[in-house]
Amino acid sequence: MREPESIPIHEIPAEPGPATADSGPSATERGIDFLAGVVSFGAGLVVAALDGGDDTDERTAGVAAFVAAGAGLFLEGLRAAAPMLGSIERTAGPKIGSTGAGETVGELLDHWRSSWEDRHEDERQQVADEQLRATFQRAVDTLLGQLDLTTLVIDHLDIRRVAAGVDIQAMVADLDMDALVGRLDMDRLLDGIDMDRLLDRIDMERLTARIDVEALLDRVDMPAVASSVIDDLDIPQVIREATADTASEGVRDVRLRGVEADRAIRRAVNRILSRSNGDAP
Amino acid sequence: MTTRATGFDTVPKEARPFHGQAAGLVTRTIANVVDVVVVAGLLGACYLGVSGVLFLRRGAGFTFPIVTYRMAYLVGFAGWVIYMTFGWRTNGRTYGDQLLGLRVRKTDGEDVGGMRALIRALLCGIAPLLLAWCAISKDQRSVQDLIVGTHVIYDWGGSRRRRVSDDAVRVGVDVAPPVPDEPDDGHAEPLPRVDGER
Repeated sequence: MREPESIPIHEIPAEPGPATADSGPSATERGIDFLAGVVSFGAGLVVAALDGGDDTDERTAGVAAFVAAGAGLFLEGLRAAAPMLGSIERTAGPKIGSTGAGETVGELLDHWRSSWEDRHEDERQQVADEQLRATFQRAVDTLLGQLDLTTLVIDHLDIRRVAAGVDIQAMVADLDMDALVGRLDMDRLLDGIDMDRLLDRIDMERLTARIDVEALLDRVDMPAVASSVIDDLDIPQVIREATADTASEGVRDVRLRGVEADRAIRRAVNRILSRSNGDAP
Repeated sequence: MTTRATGFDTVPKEARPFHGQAAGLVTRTIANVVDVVVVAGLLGACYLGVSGVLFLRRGAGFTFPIVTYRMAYLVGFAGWVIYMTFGWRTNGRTYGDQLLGLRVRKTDGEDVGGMRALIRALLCGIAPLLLAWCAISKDQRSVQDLIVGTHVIYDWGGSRRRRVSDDAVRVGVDVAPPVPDEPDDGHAEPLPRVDGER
């Protein structure tokens, strides 16, 4: 790998100006200095990027040389323009300085430079953090791959001590039971219950023994129920019908004998007429 | 509260097997004989009544009125028709039917109307022997029944009412024959009434 080509940056000579009250560089000089720094830094990055790989080909080397030459030419131009800009500043400087614009521009350029440097520093810090995080993640994965956490917890964790330290009451108090119950699908829950088995396990004797039947009946309006039943059955009419044609035993006997005689004649006639005896009971 | 519909069967227990079936020749003949006796008795009572009125009017010159055969037949026929029509129209049966447990119905089961009862009574009075056809008839209907559209069924009283559905409860009400009062009943202390009043 060949050495990166150095960029011919020359120190821009301080323009011998009239003795002024301020001993620092003027705003123009600071601006040119900042611009030269930016160009030099950018050209350095480009050249370093182009020359960094091992597989640098001839075309890349040519581009790097071209960038370096362009940057040098631009800086030489700045150096040549410096006296002219200095004379302009000297001519217009008092007027601008009287307005305070020179100091403002200078401060603005200083702010831009510091912002640039801070941003560059942040990017470097971010890259370093990402590399560190990836390295740590790989280390943790490797460690967990070597450990059997389940066995580790079973062997070394004292569940009772852990549970003793948990305040179940406080946890339950914090739970929103209404919301929890609201999420339950009661229909699915009931579908999963075998009601027959459930009923088989219920002791109906004990259940009914606990029911206060007398108290239950006290709440029933029995006269109203009885009245409703009597109205519906029409008991008086039933009694009337059942007793209206009450016959004595003698009459019943005559009737039954008459019915039997009817059947006998019926059977005889059917036999004579060779008729089926279907209607006879 | 909902009450399940209940059907009551007040037909006497012995008659339930044949209740509503067509009656045969024997019972109907006996019923007619009873009715003839009843009509004869009524006419005899009427004869005695008329004779009593005549006796009060004539005094010593009273003699029993002489009734010719023609008059007797006409009066007997009229009495028979009136008696039968009245019985079938009002109750569906005469006293003879009542005694033998019979009832005259239209073939659709409805009560017999006045005109139908009158025609049937006239036919029975004119040709009572046509009753014998019920022994031969497959439906046990006499000629009179066939003409006026009636039939005679066994009906010992009671009814099978309000049997709304198949699962309705059928309650049989058995009425025991009347028991004569015990002689001691008159001395027994009456039971207190519900409200305490004696």
